[in-house]
Amino acid sequence: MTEIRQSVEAVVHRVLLDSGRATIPLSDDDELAQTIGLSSLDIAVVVVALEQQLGIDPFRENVPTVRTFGDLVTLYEDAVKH
Amino acid sequence: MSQPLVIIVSGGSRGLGRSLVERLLGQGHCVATFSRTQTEFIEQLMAESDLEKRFHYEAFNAADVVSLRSFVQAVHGKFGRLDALINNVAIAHDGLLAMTSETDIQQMLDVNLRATFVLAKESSRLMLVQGAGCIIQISSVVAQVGYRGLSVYSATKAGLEGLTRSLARELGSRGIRVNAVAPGFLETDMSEGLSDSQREQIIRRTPLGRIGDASDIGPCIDFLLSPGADFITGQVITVDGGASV
Repeated sequence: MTEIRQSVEAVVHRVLLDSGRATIPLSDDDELAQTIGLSSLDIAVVVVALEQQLGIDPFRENVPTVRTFGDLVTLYEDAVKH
Repeated sequence: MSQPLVIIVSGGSRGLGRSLVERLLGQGHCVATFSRTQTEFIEQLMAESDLEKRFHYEAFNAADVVSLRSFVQAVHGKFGRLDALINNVAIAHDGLLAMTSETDIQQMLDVNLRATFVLAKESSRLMLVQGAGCIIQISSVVAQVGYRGLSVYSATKAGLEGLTRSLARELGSRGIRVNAVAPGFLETDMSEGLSDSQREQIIRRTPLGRIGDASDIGPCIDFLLSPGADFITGQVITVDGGASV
């Protein structure tokens, strides 16, 4: 597991825990909304928390399509590379 | 006092913004502000060693989106959190719309609307992670009551009130309240251009018989920041001595 993947997973888990929801092991195909249960506000919290931790926000200039946990991890891994 | 708050007051070097900065610092809060140029008031605050840990200032043009973003991040970096944003910065170009330059129109859009949106966006991001926060837009009675010579300014203030209502709906579930205060005409730099007859007309139309000043707005801000306003969001509170009723 890459460091970025670990960071993304940890932040997603924290968002779930902070709102009283149980955490689940996350796989690439898990849909952020349908499977993991993240609302648009939850995703905003994930994005800001990752910006505070990693110093990057791939959503700043445009909003890419991110449907699954794997999409989210790939987005941040690509952003870190560039 | 309960725990001091960390509060951004945009445009805090003069007028109502200055009054709010003074009031909130006097109450023991941590205050951050910016303005285009550093005034004597700001210089005095920055010279006070007691305030070094509680006051943060930067000089930049509110039309500069990059500076707005980095300012909010710098405030969070210095104080570790952001409890409230008072969106006060504004520009008013007075005159018939038919004679208003596109440059002046764009400036009012950039400062009164876009800067407000960007500050609310950047502040709300931090508040979402915190799970708490308070945003107060400084609107104006002219957002709801027409006034000759202030058409573009009025439109921008009406825009802030729309922002207030929708943002309140958007953020309420995360413990973030968004309200607006709409002052009437105040004895500040922005009303210096009023003629004697205009001032008399305003006073005649005001049930409470005077023009307000910045100190009339502070108590309303205090209330909206306080736990007493915990069940109030999406509202516009008018403070104008009744002139608009």
